[in-house]
Amino acid sequence: MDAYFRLDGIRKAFGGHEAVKGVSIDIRRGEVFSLLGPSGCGKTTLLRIAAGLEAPDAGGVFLDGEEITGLPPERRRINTVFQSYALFPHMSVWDNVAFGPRVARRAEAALRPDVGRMLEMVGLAGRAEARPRQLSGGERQRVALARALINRPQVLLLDEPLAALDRKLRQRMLLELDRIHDEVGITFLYVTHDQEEAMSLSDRIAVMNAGRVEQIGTPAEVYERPASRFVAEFIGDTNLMEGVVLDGAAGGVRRLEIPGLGEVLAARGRDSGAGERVLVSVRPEKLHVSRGSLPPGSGRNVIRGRVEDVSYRGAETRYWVRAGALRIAVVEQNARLQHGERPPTWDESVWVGWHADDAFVIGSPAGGETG
Amino acid sequence: MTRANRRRAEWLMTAPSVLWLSMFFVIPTAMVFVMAFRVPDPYGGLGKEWGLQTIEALWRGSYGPVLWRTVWMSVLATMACLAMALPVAYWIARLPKSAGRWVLAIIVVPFWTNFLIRIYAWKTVLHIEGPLKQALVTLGVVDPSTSLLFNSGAVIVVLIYNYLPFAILPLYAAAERFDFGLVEAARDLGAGRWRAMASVFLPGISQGLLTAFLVTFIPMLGSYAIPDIVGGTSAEMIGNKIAQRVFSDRNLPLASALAAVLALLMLLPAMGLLWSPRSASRRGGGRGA
Ligand SMILES: Nc1ncnc2c1ncn2[C@@H]1O[C@H](COP(=O)(O)OP(=O)(O)OP(=O)(O)O)[C@@H](O)[C@H]1O
Ligand SMILES: [Mg+2]
Repeated sequence: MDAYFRLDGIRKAFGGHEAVKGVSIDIRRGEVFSLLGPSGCGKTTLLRIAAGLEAPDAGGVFLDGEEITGLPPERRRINTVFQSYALFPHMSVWDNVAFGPRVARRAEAALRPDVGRMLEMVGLAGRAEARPRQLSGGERQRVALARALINRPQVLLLDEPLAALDRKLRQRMLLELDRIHDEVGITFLYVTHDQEEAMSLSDRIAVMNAGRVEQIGTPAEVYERPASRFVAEFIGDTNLMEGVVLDGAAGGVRRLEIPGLGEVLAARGRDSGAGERVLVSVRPEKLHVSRGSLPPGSGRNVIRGRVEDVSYRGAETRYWVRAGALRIAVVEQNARLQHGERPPTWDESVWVGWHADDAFVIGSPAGGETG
Repeated sequence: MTRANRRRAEWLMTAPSVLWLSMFFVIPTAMVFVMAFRVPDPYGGLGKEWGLQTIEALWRGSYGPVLWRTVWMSVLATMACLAMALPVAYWIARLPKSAGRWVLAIIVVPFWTNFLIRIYAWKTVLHIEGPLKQALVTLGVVDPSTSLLFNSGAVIVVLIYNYLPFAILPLYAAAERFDFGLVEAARDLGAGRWRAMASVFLPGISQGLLTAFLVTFIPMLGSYAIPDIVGGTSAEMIGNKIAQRVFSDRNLPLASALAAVLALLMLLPAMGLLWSPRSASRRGGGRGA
């Protein structure tokens, strides 16, 4: 009963090239669910299958308990905000938004207040007579949103709706989308290749790679507990260290031997037996770099290295520390520097420390990413 | 650039086409109109004097039915051309580029054969003892005594045949530039296949429709060879009358007068169509209220 909108075992190939290779997703009612993945991983294809614009080679689409796989797009209560907006150029903003209700044969008098309210909601009440080509990118995006939402779809599909906007506007539109979602309470299936966008908007995210889903989880889950190397690397930055498990108490702290670094503790992630080769992921912001020695403490990893690069970024400073064969990225919040402490600089010998709780074991180094 | 400079640049750029238009269109058309007011000389040329004889002859000649037939046959054939060309153009535009080019070539290549030969070929096809007639009689569709030739039906069929490619080409050019994502968007918003076509595809290719209409309708109005060969006297068009005035009566002023009437007939729809969609988009294109 959990799934409101369900894609089940979807496959789709274009002339021998498999764009979607068996994807199953359960989306809950009212949720913002994101498909996140690099360009060409099959996000748009999946969305078009959900909308009915493309027929899957295998698998089914279910909405509110009913199979809709064979229904044409006009018979699905699903609307799309297209990647290129696809506004009708020969119609005014008003006529674009009124298109759905008119097609549904609603009386002009009855739809007028609705169109007005929609334009109000997206902040375009004053632009009703304008043509799409007279609008800015952000305004077009909002017309596309209003045009889809006025039909009160059961699911709204959004294909990279913010990709064409500049950074500032994108952030504002993200907040706006969030507000609109709260207002209308419609289930959103949101496609993006921008992890920040997905993280800030979504209740849950499906991370996709090459036509497959690598992991489904809340933003915190996919960030903190990546299921694969691909997820760890695609969502944010991470340090990946390859090593061999020395002893692996299930659920407890594992000791690993990492060539060049020595023994390292990792408390989280996949269970693995002694002798297994694994990857350990540690996010840069979980590491600390210090000129003086760091207190060892229980569960702490401390290694020595040399600063290879420093990059100051205002709110934070990013270090690259060479330790054996590894180049470790460390992010320090600049607020941390106090008591006259001087930050480490280039070519200095430093200590790098992190807690075993922040070290996450993900599969074997070879083939772990495709599951 | 200042406004005045831009104006001048615009003038400089449009000057060649204005010149071309006046040399090859405005002046000859004006001459045709003017000649209608000359008197004919007995040797088939233009007389020295001016007069209204030809206008009178125009009236007395009762060209009304011929004109009317010219118009309705052309309208019918044009509509049929557009109706057939539209799905063809749509289909070619949806084909992969290279395949589309082949189909276009196949459509155009037969037209390298001489125009008159192709029309005579129709005469053979429609002939009383021709293959089409025989087939229709065998199928019991037509009576053995009916003639497929020398009636307005034959003229319309051959007009459609001859002008179909001219309707397909501009429609294809417009459809090929059309963003079919808009049709998908319309269907996503609840429009069925036909509704999406009518409300998004047709407006999207309106310029192509207009061009297709003009390049078929206008030459059809002036047709002469087609009604002459397959039409006979019962399906004459105004073009035939003009030809008769020139070749048999050797009355150039009357031919000119008829040509002027034809030119007016052509100009009216062309003007109307050229102005209406433009002004409509200007009306709706104002900045938001
Ligand atoms: N109509 C099509 N014909 C042929 N190949 C296609 C078609 N549509 C998609 N593909 C291929 O399928 C793969 C997935 O495409 P898709 O558009 O779903 O990617 P995407 O994840 O949306 O990428 P992007 O982020 O660039 O939009 C790509 O390799 C693409 O080339
Ligand atoms: Mg895409």
